[in-house]
Amino acid sequence: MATAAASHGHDDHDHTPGFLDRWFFTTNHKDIGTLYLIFAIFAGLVGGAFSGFIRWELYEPGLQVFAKGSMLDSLGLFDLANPDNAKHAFNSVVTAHAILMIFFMVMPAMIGGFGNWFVPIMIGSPDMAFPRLNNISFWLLIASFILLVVSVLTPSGPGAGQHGFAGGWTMYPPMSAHTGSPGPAMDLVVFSFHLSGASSILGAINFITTIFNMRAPGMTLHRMPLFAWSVLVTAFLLLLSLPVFAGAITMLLTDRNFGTSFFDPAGGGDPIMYQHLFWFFGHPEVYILILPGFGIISHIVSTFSKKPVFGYLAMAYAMVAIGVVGFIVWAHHMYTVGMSFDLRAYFVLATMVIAVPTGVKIFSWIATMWGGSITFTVPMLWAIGFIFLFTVGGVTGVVLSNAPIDYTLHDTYYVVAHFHYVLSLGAVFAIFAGFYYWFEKMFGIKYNGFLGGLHFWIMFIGVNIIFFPQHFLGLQGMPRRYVDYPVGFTFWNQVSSIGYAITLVGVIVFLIMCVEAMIARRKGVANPWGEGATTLEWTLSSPPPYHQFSELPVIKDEDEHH
Amino acid sequence: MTKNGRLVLWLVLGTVAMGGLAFASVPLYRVFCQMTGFNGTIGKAATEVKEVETDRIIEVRFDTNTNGVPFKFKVDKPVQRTRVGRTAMMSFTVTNESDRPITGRAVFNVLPEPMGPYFRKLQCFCYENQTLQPGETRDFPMVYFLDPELLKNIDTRNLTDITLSYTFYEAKGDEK
Repeated sequence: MATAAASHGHDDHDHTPGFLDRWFFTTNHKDIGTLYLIFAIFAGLVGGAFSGFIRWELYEPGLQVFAKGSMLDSLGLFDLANPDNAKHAFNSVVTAHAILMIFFMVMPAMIGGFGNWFVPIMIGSPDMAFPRLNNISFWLLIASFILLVVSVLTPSGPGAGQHGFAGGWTMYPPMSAHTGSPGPAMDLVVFSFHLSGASSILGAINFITTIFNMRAPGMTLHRMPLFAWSVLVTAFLLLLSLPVFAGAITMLLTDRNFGTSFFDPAGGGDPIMYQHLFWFFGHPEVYILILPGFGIISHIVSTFSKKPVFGYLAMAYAMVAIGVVGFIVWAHHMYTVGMSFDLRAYFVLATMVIAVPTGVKIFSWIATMWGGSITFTVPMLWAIGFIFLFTVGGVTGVVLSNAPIDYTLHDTYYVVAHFHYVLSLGAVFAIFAGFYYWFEKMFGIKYNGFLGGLHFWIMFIGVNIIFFPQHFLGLQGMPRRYVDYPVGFTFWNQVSSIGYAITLVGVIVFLIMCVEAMIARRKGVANPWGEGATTLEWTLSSPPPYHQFSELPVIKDEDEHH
Repeated sequence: MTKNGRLVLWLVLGTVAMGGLAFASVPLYRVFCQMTGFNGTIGKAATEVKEVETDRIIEVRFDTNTNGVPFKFKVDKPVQRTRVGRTAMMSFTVTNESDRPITGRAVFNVLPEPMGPYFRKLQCFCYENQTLQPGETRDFPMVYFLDPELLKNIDTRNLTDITLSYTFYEAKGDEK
């Protein structure tokens, strides 16, 4: 793509390999990063299309899109003639939307994409510690993606003609057990997670080794840029939580196929234990999705305020604290299973404690901007948008952390609104912020600032119109994962679906922005952001040479490179 | 061993340990539930019980279900008013309605779940598999008492009624 042609223009000793070697067998961290970003954009478009079917269906009560004769029916992916199968199809689309967005869009973009691209550069290393392992991580993810897409088209059941696992991304038994989904679709989902889990664990090992052992002379951990810190914490979360998840889904697999009864009460098992194992992984997982975003936002806010980030060490250790506490709050996802009073009290308290380090981060970003010489460039718009939206999502999170309130709001659209504010609006805005911040650095060309700004404003308005009304729907009691709703919920559902249409326009502007930049090929400069951009990537050309730092940089000044 | 190799060894060990923890949690969770009555797991009382009668009366409701097994499963009385601390007995009737011998197993649970540790059983058909011949009907007594300790727990001291639910499944392979 852009990098391939652009790097030929450079005068250093780079010689890039041929197309097949470069894009299929590559061990170069920047090329793998680019592959991850392209893959994330692709998976994001597929997952976004799935959410389009959801919002389109929910525009009106009754069955429209998931019904015979609809546009979706003409695609022939699902059997929509039978209403029961149509409802199943809706739920399998909801499930696939979640899995695609979490595992194939946000994680590859943040960790695989920006992590691969910038962690080695920021710590002054020539590449990752294990470049070939890096390549394996990427292609395992592709295999995992293929298995997941195939599972959507594979019989699941329990009825005939019901394709794709429809039990939600949490995959609770008995929905995911043989009783609920006898067909092979669920087995494929399990295999897909095995592969993506292996991919992420290998990636995590690679990042930790790189960050611990390959920092440039003078780049101590306490001088390391916050994005590298965020990826380090994320890698530890992946390493410690994913094996538990792999264990849980393996137990599901053997329950389904080999007659064990880990989660089957008939044989002395307990389905609630699956929920404990799942959320022991699932809660760190949501921090895995957002922590690299915290790192990205710190860089952007500091760059465009032309100040070093406020409270650097507090920012780094706040992320460590969020990571540690993230492992001991999991049961707040399952207050309604009937825990004792004391246990609920503990999980409420532990959950609320997380607001403290998160607050440290929010206020430090604001303090970084305070008194700074702020320029409202496109990445800065996304970063400020992130801070605002993530705070809204954080506040509803504190509301939900109260067990008595959660009793009524559990599995309603209030929860949907909450986690889309922190993820769809938080994590995705952080990804776009990073994309615009490093666009010129990665691809060596400038984007059109007007299109970038237009993209931001349309998306900002669109996603708020989608998700803010969902708070109202949730408070009124509309449950999530339902294909239909009573007429009384129509108004805010229609507003929400109109918001989707606006967001779709924003995504199209984003694609136009990418194509326009590729056609116009305005040559990028090494540091377009000026004095505020202090991390090591801005000392290199744009795009960076194919192999950087053949002579390692020496970091002397404590405040210079973070 | 190189510096990278040593670090990777530790990280792989960490991964394997966490994976092992997932599987180790199966027996740990069972022990934990039995010790604490977590999740409505019912305590099994020692045969020697000192009766400490109190003046609290709690309504115990009995719920009988079958899942995938052709048994007719009934309880003599759906509700029993039981004095906390006094031993009580309830009788259940199971009929095998199929034409083959079937080994079933009853799984039980008590709601609200914090009552689990205070619902003490002295005798129960649910502790082992039960084989019924075709058409056979059998009565199973279940002897229990409500532990007076429940009056000291914030979660249970104000409860006026509790439900004990049984589900009969066809027994699977070898049992714990």
